[in-house]
Formats: sequence, structure tokens, C-alpha cells
Amino acid sequence: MKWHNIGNGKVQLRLAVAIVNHKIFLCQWYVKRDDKTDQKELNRFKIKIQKIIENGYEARGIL
Amino acid sequence: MSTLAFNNSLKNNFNPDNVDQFIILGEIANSMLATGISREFVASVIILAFRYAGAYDLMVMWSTETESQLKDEIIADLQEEIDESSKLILPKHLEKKDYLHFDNLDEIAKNVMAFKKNLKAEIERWGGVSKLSKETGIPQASLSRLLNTPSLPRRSTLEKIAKAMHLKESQLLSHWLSI
Repeated sequence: MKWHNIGNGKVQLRLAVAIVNHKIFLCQWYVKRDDKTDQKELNRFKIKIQKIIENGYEARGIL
Repeated sequence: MSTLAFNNSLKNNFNPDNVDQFIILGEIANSMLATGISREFVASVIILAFRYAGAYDLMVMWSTETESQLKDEIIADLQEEIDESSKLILPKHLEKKDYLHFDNLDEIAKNVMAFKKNLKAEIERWGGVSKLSKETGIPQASLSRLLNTPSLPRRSTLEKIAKAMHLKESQLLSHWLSI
């Protein structure tokens, strides 16, 4: 998910959302900087997706 | 990132049947050691890379990156992933933690930063972040992130710091518990 020009700093917020077994998980957030940051965060997102599939995660709440 | 780019990125996933990837992992591990990163961290990150494709990709990204700030960020990210994965037994069911309400986040961030300011001063009095990195095995980049951002410190990290500095855990954890 992408949110453009929000907040006092008019930043672009990225929310990494995974859909696994018909459930939607909000996994992480970061401020868009450049393609390298996107790639780095994507790699971390891959780890989280794998953990969700393995049921190895903690839930902080439901939106 | 487009779907095509994401799918292409999956092609770099670690494959335990691919001998070349084992060799690459070893080479990256040696590079990390050569830069002064602790053996404990490197061993942990290798185990992580065997288990999680994203961790392998982060290691490859670190090895090809030339910008030092981004390299440090990747190291700090990998340390966070190691800390999160340090549970030996994964929960079998959904494990729920306390919900942090949006309205409380600013207050929590202020408390956390006040705690970290005190911790930073204590670390400087003791001998500094570089020395702490050597004693704990936690990469300096990871300690810098811990001390300079409002992220909630992990209990396991505070325990390592307390042990290295010969502090009673209660001296650090009492601040932690009040957050």
C-alpha cells in the first residue's frame, strides 16, 4: 500500500500488507526513500511472510 | 514495486540444493568478519539465511552495496531479524500481545527516548558503544539504532547489555518495565 504526501513532512508512507490463507496481515511500514530502501524492506517483508506461513508471529491487534 | 519486479526478486531466494549459494554465503560471511562484525552475529545471520529467503537476500544486498549508511542499516535490520527469530519454539497458535493504542504512541515514544538517553549516558561512562559492541557481539550499527530511535528495546538485548556492563538486570529492566 502507498500513501503519498502525508504528515508534516509530506512523506510517502509504504505499508507492507500480506494476504495469507484468506487473512490480511499488516506487517511493516516505512517511509519511501529510494529503490534501495524498497528492496531492503521487501527482503524483510519476505521473512515476515514466511513466518506467517509458519505461524510464527505475534499479533498486536486487529484493524 | 510492480508485481513483475517482486516476482523477479523471488528468483534470488536461497535454495539449499544450490551449491553456489552456499559458497556465496560463506564469502559474504568472511567479508562481514573482515569488517569487524562479530563472529556471533555472522553465525546467527548464516543460520537465519538458511531458514529465510529474505535474510539471504539481505546478506547479498549488503555484500553488493557500496553506501556505508545503507550497509549499516542492513546489519541493524539483520540483527532485529535475529532477535525476533531467537525463540526456539514457534507458537502453535496466534499469540496476542498488548494492543498499543494510537493515542498513546507519542507518550510511549517520549518515555522510550528518555530511557535511551539515560542508557546512552551510562554506556558512555562505561566505555562507549564500540566497546559494548565487542563485548555483546551486537553490531555497532544495531546498537546505534537501538540508542537513537524510539523503537522499543527487546528484553533480550537489554539483558546482553546489562551482562556486558556488569549491571544488575533490574537496573535496566526497571526502566523498561515503567515504559
